[in-house]
Amino acid sequence: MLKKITTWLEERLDLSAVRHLTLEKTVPKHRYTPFHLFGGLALFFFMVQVITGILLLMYYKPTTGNAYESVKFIVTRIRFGWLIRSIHSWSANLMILTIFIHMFAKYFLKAYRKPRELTWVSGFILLTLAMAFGFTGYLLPWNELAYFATRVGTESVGATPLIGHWLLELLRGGTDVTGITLSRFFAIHVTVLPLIIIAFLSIHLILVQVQGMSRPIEVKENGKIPFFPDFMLRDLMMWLGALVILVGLATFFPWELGHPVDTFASAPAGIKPEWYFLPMYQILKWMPSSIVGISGELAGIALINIGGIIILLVPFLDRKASRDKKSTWFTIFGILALVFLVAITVYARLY
Amino acid sequence: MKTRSILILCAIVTFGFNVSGTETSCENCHISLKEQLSRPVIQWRASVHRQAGISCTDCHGGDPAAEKTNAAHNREKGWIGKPGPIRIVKLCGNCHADEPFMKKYNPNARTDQLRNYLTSNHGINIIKKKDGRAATCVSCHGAHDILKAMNPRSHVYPAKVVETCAKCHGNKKLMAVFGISGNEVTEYKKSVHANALYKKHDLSAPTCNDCHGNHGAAPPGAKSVEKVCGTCHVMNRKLFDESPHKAWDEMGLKGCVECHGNHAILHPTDAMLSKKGGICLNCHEPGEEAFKTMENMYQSLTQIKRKLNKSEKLVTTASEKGMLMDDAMLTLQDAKTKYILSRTAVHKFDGNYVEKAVKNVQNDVKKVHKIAKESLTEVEKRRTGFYRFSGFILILLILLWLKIRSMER
Repeated sequence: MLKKITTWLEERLDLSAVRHLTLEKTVPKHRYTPFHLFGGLALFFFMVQVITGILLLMYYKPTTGNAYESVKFIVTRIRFGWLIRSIHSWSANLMILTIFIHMFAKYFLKAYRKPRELTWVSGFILLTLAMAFGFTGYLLPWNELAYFATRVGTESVGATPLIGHWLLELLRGGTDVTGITLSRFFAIHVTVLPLIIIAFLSIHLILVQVQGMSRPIEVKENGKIPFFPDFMLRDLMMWLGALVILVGLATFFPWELGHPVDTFASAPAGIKPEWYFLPMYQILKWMPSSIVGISGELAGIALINIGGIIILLVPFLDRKASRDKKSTWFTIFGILALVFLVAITVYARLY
Repeated sequence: MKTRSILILCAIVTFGFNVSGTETSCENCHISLKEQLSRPVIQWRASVHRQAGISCTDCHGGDPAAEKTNAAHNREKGWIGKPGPIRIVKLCGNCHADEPFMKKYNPNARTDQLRNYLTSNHGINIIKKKDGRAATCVSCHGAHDILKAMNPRSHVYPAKVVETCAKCHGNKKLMAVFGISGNEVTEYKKSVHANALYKKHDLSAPTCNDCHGNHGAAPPGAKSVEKVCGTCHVMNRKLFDESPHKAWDEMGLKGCVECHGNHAILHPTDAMLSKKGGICLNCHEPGEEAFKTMENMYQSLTQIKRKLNKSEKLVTTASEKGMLMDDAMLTLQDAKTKYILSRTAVHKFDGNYVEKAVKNVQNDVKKVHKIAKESLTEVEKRRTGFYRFSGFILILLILLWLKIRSMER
């Protein structure tokens, strides 16, 4: 039966790419092979986001008067609504965490080197898009924390030179965070960002398929693993494990709904952004009011952007790795960056 | 050219001296004297009187324009030096009892302070008995550092009133002269009112003046200190007046004070109605109808408290387990308010009335209990579902692992 369908399709379509993926594609086997699984895991979390997001969309109402109540309705009245909403929130966080792990794994294995520079660049763009998803999605329940966190978060955009004010008003749809901001963030979250992310994800996946998976420099290869079904089954195991963790987190630690927004109230004490924005938050917090005549906030934003650009351009900066030679300085830089990010995140969370 | 410049400089400097001409010779002279004599100037400069343009001579008299001490302290120019207690009262009263004068500064300003003061024990001792040991205006408000009452640095700011009164009323030796124990401040500091004021920083909590009056013998609307409690505890007073204990007035008993004390008013507990050491036992014997009423009220209140606490614990547990408990918390809040009302109902000393109030609490407690129980059942259901799901996935993972191993062989 399957053979008949395949023959029928082959008479009409060129299935060589599928055949290549199922029959010919291999994954290099070495001691770091398990790290290749994190890309697939991030993809799994993305798929979970799409499915749960669509389900939430059926009941969510993006207006200031209804947003909070509609989320409350989802978690209290809709069958398994609590599970869907909590999985959506937990999966968003785990997706970003997995992308970070995937990025650092690929960084230390120097997988970004020639000819995979564009895979790295598209991957970095996917990380920023995932964070943008987090930022826009955070406001949607229209609760107290989300409202004030968005006010603080969008305020820093206003510090951008020349276009700051314009950018701030574009993002907020006015001078303050209002119902227009909510509608705007909702539109960006469910239409604009998904379209962009699907485009970059397609590029990223096509590049991986075309170029195959990289072999780390000077690492002994113990043969190859067929992608289908051997590697795919390992992926599936990882996905199933992740699903158990997701459902477990949603069951034992359901995502809090918080209190409805009171726009006249003052911001709650100790308000902090989501963990993946904490390094940026702490850097901005540490900045003095001015540095050599430039506002501290602006200098902080510039510093964060420079850091991001350096990471984006790593494949083009690490010339040694592109010649298949060990680049110890880049490894040291990566270790320092990782330690810094973990330390600053922990510090910002605790203090 | 050089001479002209010097002349212009001299003109500017002398003009500067003229500008500061609002300063009197009192200030100029006293500020350079030793601490005891310069402090009044420093204190006055930060006072409400300076803001209102009331200067040294308005109280002390003398010639503020005179350069020499003798000329400034001229009795012919009205200099009185340090005024005595009776004079202080009259001096303050000159302005503060003068309605047209005071309204210039504040259209809502009170001008009855002197009139009230004269009715107080302080006023009677000073004016009628000529006993200068009693408090005058400056004893509480300060002599030179007078600030508005709601200024946190003022001696009569709510959080500072007790310490201000304690300057005299904490002095047992001085108080013994007037037949007062001198323990009042120490006792007040143990009270539920002091706890609200100092620990909860509730400035509306009563301090000395709220019961004993600001200037007069008792605050407006209260005939005597014993009747003061009802000005805040309105419901308790109303119920008390409807109770058999209303007869206490004729018996010469002191209402609220008989059960709650006066200064060391502790947080009332249900134990006050207990047959083991309850406050009612001070007057009532076991077997009396009143004793039974007390027992019934105690049973009702302690039982409902236990149920209320149990329901609250269930709501907290369900909330900690991630359940949205908004509705239960709202009902719980209602139940707590009704519970407070049921405790207030005790003041009617009518078992049926208390029982009715307790039933109102019970209805809410039942609702809360039901919601919390349902939520906790839902938590268990979710967790059981998760265990089953994870068990199924675990089996699947084992099978996949076995499959991968068999393929690699």
